[in-house]
Amino acid sequence: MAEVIVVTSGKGGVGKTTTTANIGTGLAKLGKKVIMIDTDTGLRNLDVVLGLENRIVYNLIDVVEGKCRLNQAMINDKREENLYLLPTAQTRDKSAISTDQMLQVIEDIKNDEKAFDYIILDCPAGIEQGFHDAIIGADRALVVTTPEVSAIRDADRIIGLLDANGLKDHEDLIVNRIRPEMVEKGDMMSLDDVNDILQLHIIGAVPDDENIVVATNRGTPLVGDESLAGQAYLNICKRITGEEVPFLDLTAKKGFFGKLKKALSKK
Amino acid sequence: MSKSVIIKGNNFGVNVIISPDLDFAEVRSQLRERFKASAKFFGKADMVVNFSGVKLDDDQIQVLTEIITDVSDINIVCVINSDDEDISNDMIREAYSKKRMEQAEEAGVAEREQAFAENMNSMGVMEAAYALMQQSSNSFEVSEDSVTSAAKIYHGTLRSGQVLEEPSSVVIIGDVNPGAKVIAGGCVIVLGSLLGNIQVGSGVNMENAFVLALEMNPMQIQIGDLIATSESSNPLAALRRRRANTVSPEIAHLKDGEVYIEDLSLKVINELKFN
Repeated sequence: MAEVIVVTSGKGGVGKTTTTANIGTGLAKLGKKVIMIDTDTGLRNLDVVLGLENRIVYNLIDVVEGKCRLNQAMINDKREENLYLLPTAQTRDKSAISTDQMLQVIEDIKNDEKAFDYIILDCPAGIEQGFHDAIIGADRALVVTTPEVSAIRDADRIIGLLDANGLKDHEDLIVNRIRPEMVEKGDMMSLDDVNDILQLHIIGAVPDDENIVVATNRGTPLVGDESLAGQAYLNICKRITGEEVPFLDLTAKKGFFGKLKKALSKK
Repeated sequence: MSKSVIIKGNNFGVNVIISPDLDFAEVRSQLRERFKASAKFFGKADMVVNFSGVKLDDDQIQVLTEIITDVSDINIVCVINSDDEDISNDMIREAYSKKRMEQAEEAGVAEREQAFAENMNSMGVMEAAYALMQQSSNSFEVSEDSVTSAAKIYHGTLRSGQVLEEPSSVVIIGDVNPGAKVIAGGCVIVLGSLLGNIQVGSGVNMENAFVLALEMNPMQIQIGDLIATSESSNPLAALRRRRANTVSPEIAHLKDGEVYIEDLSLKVINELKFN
């Protein structure tokens, strides 16, 4: 039976959608059958990040309103044949779907003949209706945060709400956009600091990597490529499947110019 | 009194204080909110639920009880509407035994005897519970000995947006994160970092109320009617202090009409007068 994972954060702009896209793609690369559901009705982005925007004909809301069959709304990824996207409507808002309807859709997907291993929900920012729709059917949650006080505060609030909604001890933390050089200087929270405040198991740490911006604009998630962020995302996917993978040393690789700069600064 | 539903825990159950000018639909939604918020705190405890403030009919009590069991894991052993004049100690005891009997019935004959034995053991507790409830439901004020009465213990981290409200004193084994709030009739001891909001001593003994924390860095402390706000601090600096192990326990209390925060020492404890 498919495991339902919600990717959430509270705060907007910390990388929920990018994380969803990379984890979905990564799990598919590991041979799992995956469907990603965009629950950010009215402000959908997941299709763009995956480069599937032009293929959307039907969406989640059409399914709920009986305008199409579930299968018609599922879009097969252009690179990974194990990967599907169920987009949401851009012309509607969060009130277009209820928690009961969302549960029904998840139930239908679980019983789909494609036999998915993972159902990954991209949660909207905020703690309103959209948040509740996204978490209602989840078996576990990935809380995305950045090492900034505002994002940490919101993550804390979200963890409290997840606890209260039956996901206690089924939550993991992803710390996104770490800048190791700032951490070293003491200008940014370290993983230990984040752990200290939130006291939640950290399942992955992703460096701030400009390759992500490039990949997002191009519509091809970078998970699994040689970039540090790509490796970090693939490691998270492996940990989700239960594999034990050591954490990357984010300070190790700085590329040729980084090494050059370091060498020069020593003189 | 403001239009609201307030829940106050005590050692034997929970007191639900309903403002009389509230319509029933509002009571239902507020009750759901309150119990949802504290479901984790109550856990799976056996509890006596006392509705006070308004007189409810049987159907209403049924609806409210269902809400409580719906949103929390509380096992309601007995429901009382303390504004019902006819209620007596005997009636509660009877209701409680009956409930136990029913449970035994469901569990099967073999376990009935055991349930009876439990019932006998709980008898003393029930009497105490009723006495306590009468005391607190007659006046909605926090009881006079709120500072020294038995404290509640809360395990775990209070996160942003969560509120812990107790008429007694509270010991928190865990952190109170920024944005979380603790409201206690008595004192609060935080065996962890206090970074959120805290309000103590709403009872009459406010000059004795104190807040003690292993790391004292709250957003605001209110003791009685006095509110003290912290200088906005650099969270990174606070984390560095924690890393460097330079954090020491501190105590906040009232002194000459001001909120004082100082290092915890025997001297300070001795200065605070307890009865």
